[in-house]
Amino acid sequence: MSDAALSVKNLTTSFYINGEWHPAVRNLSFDLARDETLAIVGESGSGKSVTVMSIMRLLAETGSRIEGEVMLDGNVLTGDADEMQRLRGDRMAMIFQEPMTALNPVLQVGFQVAEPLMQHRGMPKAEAMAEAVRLLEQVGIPSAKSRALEYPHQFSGGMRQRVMIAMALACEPTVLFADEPTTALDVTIQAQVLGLLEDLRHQKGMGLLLITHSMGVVAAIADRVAVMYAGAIVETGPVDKIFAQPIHPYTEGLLKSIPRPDRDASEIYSIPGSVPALDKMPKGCRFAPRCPLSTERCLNDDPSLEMVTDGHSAACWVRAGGAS
Amino acid sequence: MSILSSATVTMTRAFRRNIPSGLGIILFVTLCLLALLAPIIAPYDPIEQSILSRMKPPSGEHLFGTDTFGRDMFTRALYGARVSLTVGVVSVLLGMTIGSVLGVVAGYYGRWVDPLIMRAMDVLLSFPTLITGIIIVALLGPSLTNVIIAITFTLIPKFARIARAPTLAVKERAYVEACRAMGFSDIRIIVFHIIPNILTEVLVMASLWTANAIMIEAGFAFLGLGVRAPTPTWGGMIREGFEHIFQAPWMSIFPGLCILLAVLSLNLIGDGLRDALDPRLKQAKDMG
Repeated sequence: MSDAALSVKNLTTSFYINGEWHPAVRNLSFDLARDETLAIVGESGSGKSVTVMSIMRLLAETGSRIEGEVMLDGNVLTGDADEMQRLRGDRMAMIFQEPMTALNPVLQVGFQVAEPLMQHRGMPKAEAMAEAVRLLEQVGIPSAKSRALEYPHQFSGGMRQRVMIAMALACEPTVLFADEPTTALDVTIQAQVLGLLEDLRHQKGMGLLLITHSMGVVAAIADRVAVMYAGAIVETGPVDKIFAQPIHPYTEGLLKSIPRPDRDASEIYSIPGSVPALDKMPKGCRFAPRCPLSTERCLNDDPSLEMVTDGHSAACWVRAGGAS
Repeated sequence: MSILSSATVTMTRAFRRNIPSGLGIILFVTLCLLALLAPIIAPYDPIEQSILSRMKPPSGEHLFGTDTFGRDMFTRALYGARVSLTVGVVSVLLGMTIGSVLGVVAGYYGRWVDPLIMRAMDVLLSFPTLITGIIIVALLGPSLTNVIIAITFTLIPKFARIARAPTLAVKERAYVEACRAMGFSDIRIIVFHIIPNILTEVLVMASLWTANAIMIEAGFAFLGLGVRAPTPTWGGMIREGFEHIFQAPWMSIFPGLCILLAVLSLNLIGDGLRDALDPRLKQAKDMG
């Protein structure tokens, strides 16, 4: 798939802990097409954020090691620091979880939206500021012209997240990473921001990589889903198939743990235990110790992703064969 | 523009509810104006001697009295303000600029840059201020420029330390991480995102150290290391009057008072800035 906006092959990111390298992300491969939303879902510690940080090369260089191949717009990224700096904010951009702290409190909002244009396009300040106003309008900020001169503390959380989106879209990136973009927002605002992200993705033909632990967010805007557990994708497929016929027991667990109005709180399913620490990974299937279906084989051998139906794969000995 | 505006916001906030620091500003601005307008205001020539009116006590004719050469002390105090304030402001501006840049660079880049710069600063700091000044003036010779250089050197390590500490905190903030994620260059991050956020801390110290610099200059002048006679300086005037302190106390008292007023005004400004920044602005910043 050379027309993919982003193509990741065998990405492995390891951290150096107590004298040993431990992979936080293992052999991860996925493609993200233009005008497509891929959601990476998983619990805390499953490696979702590390994946994005690895692609953007934002991890501290000491104590981390990144292997594998990343292709952006059909070009292989060498990982060279200068090249990455040029691409970040220009060809790929990121929206953070906390719009409260991700904006500089002492700079005008318009200036902050204009900055990527000045940095990457070499635009003069006046021109960039005018463009920033246009961008703020585009993300639905009313009276953008005067709001552009205000400071972040004069904006509400939802408005700030819109500002972050305007900033990220300033240079019209090929790929937009959104790391839990709605987690810090009021529920009533979440839908608005998600709707905005989807609209803009469609308008600009971007690839949107959405990181979330909320199945609700996934259902709302994702085209495809990749479920991550302990650093690897355990199931991936189109969103409707994942919801209708989950294969992997972990995906099943995630879906069952969504609260519903017709069930009591005590009936909400929760997956027992938590994601194992990096230096204490089990040797077989990493989910086996928490899995209700685990067999002898699961505890000893690691399954790989196997296609079950068209475009729908899972890594499970019991449900998907998982022969490597 | 944004740096200046944030500093202005800070300043305004600092003084809105603080009467002593407001007085400090008025006093300091008055002193600056008097120094600036010395040639217009001064009733006499600062250097011209007059044997007939030697060591006259303060009167309507000579507001601050006259010195051993019959020169009008008020005129000399006005002209002396020019030297003192120039030295104070210029050396602090230089020391602040160079020192802060070194401190921010050390704090931002860390790794080997940080110990390299900060150990060099420690070496500079290990000399007492006066000794550093004496060495530099002794090497370069006494003149206005060299006094400024000497004082600048003693201020650089202090500003480096003051700038480095908040840099370490600010560079870990989410918005600096966001800047990296947006591919901003280190220079852009430092200039637009780190410096405006540490500027307040640095400015508070700048106002206090301007007072210090004025006192150091007076000390140099008193020791004969400063600007050459007959150019009037406050420290130099105190020394000239020192020999006649019992016969003509006004010769030392008035320049001493001038130093007191200048130092007091700057300390009031500094205190006001610090108070205003301490709880309220920090809170506003964190919420913002």
